[in-house]
Amino acid sequence: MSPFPKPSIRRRTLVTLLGTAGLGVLVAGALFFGFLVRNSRQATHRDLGSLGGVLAYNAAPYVAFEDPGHAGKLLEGLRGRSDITRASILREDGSSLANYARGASSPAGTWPGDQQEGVREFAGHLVAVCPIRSSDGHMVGLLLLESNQAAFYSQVRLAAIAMAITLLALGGGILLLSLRLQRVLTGPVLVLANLAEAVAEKQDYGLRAASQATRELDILAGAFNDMLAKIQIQDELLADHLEQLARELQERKQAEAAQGESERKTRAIFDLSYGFVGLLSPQGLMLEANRTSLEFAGVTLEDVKGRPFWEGPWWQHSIEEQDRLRDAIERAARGELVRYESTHLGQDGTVHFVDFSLKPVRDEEGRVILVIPEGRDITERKKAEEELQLSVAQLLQAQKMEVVGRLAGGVAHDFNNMLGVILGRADLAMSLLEAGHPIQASLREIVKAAQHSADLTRQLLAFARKQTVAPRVLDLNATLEGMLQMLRRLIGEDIDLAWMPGAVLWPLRMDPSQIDQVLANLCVNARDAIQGVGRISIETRNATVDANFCAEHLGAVPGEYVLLTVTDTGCGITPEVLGHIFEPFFTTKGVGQGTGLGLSTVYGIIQQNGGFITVHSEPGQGCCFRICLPRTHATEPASPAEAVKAKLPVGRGELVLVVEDDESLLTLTRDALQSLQYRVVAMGTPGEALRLMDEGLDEVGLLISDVIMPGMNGRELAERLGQRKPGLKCLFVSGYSTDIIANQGFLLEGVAFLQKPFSIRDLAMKVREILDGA
Amino acid sequence: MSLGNRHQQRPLRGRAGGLLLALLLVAAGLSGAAPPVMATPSRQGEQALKARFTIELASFVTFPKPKDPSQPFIITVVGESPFHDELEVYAKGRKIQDRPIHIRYVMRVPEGQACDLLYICRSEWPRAQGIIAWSRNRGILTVSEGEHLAAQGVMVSLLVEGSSLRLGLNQRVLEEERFSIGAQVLQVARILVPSKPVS
Repeated sequence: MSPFPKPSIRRRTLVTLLGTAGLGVLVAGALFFGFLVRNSRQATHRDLGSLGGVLAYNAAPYVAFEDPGHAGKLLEGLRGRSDITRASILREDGSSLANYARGASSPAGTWPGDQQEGVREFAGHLVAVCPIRSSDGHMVGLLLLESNQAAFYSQVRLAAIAMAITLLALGGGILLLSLRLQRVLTGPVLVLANLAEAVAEKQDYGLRAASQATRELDILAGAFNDMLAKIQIQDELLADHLEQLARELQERKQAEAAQGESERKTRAIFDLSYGFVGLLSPQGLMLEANRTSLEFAGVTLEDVKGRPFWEGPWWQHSIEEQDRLRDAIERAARGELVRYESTHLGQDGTVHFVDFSLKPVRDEEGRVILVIPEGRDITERKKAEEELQLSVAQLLQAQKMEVVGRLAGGVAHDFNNMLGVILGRADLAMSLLEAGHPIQASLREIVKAAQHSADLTRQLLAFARKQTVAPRVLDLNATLEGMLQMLRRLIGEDIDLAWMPGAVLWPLRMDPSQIDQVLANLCVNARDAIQGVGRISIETRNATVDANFCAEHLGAVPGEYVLLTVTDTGCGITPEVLGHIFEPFFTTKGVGQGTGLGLSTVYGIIQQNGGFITVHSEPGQGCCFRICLPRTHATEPASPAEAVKAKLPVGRGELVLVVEDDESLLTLTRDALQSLQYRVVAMGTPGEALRLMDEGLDEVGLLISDVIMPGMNGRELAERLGQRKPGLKCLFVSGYSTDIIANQGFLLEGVAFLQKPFSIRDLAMKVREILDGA
Repeated sequence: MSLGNRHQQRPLRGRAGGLLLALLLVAAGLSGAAPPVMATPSRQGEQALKARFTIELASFVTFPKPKDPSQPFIITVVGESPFHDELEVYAKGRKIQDRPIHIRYVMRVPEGQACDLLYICRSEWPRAQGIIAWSRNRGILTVSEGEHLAAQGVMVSLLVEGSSLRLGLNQRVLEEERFSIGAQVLQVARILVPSKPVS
């Protein structure tokens, strides 16, 4: 806004009129003055020229006939002209004939060198040069006439004064005319302006302008009144519109508020979503990214906005991911929905698995205008899936092992019964024959084959954890040292056996025979893997297993263990084979070279004792078995050394009740006991045994019962008979361990057990041991 | 046309001027008075002035009979001419009555020849009566030196008055021969024989 007040139309009119008219008058005056001066100058020139001409004409005879007197008189006639300051009459040769000077002027003053005919300015004066000619036109001299132009200047002064007076008069007239005109023009306009001001101030559009004296202004007033009438109508309409506009504005504000709330919610959903969400141009330039994705990469929106999405921080770990993303964006820009599993780099440097998708957004014409990238962190899910996969694999493996174990146990039960018969009958037969009898050799082969079969059955039972064992607290180092000699014989001289016992091992509770089985099987397996010279290392030490280790190893449970490591320098195991090595009857050895039960036996024994086994091997790099056996805190006196085998103990006529549903085995057992000088009552079912006891057979000193029998198991039978005869001693026989007499294969307290198949010696030793109350 | 240029065109005139100036200075010295406007002409300067007066005179006189412009204006000098080159110098390039000037020097009256101005030299004074009579009614302007021939009928006499040369007019003869002379010329001339009184 200008700091100066706006000029009024009255002032502008006055200034304009005065300026225009004044300028016009001044220009006209200047032109007229110039014209006057010019004319006056020309008149002065003409006058001086004429005067000179006349004088020259008159001077002609004076010059021609050398009459300076008349010539001087002629010049003296110039006294009447006040403006003529001097004059000279020159002869033809330039000499002066007569001179004239007015006042102080020197008659001999300098005349212009250029004495061409005419009138010209010279030294501030006007000089006329006129030739003096004789009658025939011949020039006989010159007349020089000088004027101070007093007349000219006087005329100029007069003209200037007249002009000034005229201009002043005109100026006054113009001023008066301008004032009048301004009044005529601006008066009605000011009336209208005041009216407009009143209308504007009071907002009263009912006011009207009065009729004007002049036609134009009356038209203007009429137009103004019309305009006011229209404005009045428009004002009313405007008021209605304003009211409507206010309502619409209010509604719009409410809508905008709602939209803003919606946008805030949408933004919140966008930002706070657990997923990674953004907006891309079809060219792949980053337009938006939600807070989750930005915080994941540790950047701000300004860091990534406007840049190619594939150059973002999420893909800096993999050029392949960047290339794949670039291709995916191109596909999405063509309208394709793209989804794939990707990896994102987090700000902590970790790589996360992401379920990633690119969705095109189209406009109304179907053109892709945006691409929405969306990702969901599936790292935890992937991990869970992998763990689940591992767990399933473990479960399947466990189920498979369980099924195989059940199968093996079931087979072993019946098989052991038959083997028991074979062994027993062969033993009996040999005892009945004289020494050196030709059939003795055959019987020994039968026994040998039956025992080998029994070993196989035992291994099956061991794998199936159906092997009935009698664990005790032991020191693994001491147990292993007792086995070293046997193991060295087992592996041969070409293979070095390195024994590296750990210091102060924790105690174990385990059947020592099972340790024998484990070591023997592992060493045999290692021996077979070593071609020629090699080395087998056995190492023990204490180990604490944590959850992390357990997460990565099948069957491991956190706790304190004694670690037994058996390492060989053999050919190693391929990954394909490694997954099957603990399965029974799985072998890579040739036909007849292995049973496929060695490592499965080991697996079963370790499982049975609450431990776990891991194996690490690569082809050509040997193999390493690590067996973790749980530490025990129980203390148990060392078991007495096994009695030296001696002569078979025999009975002293004690009555033994034998209950066995397998008739062959029942007969064999009866015969064997009888041969050992026991009295025997043999019953095929538990019911018969109970009836016998009910009939008063109190002499029975020992019950030998099968564990698994139809109708009633051996333990129940023993308990019911014990109710009839408290203190009745029992010996259970079975092909494999059951929960009836054992917990997870470990015999219950106070239970005597004999594993089928058994030899007569085993039976004699066990019966005597029980009856003697050991 | 400038005076300077004229000097260059007429070197003799300049030279005559220089001589005239020298004579004027000598005369001033002899008289012991202030020099007059025009110094007493020397013999040579006098002749030059006479030659100039003669030529200029013809231009200020209106002749009674207009002549054919194609015919030259003939100045006849009769007798022993006092002029040397002066007359030719002044006449060169000039016209009188729009007629080129032609100068003749004769010793007797030019019978049968055209003549517009007759200059009677001092040597012909004894025969002046006859020469003047011959020129009558022929439209010839007669000029002579001295004033004593005026009485015999010479129209214009060239009079030496002190340091200047002056015209002397015989108005009666001029009027009789119907010559007219401008009033300005009359101002500078002396009337030797006035006009015939009007009866």
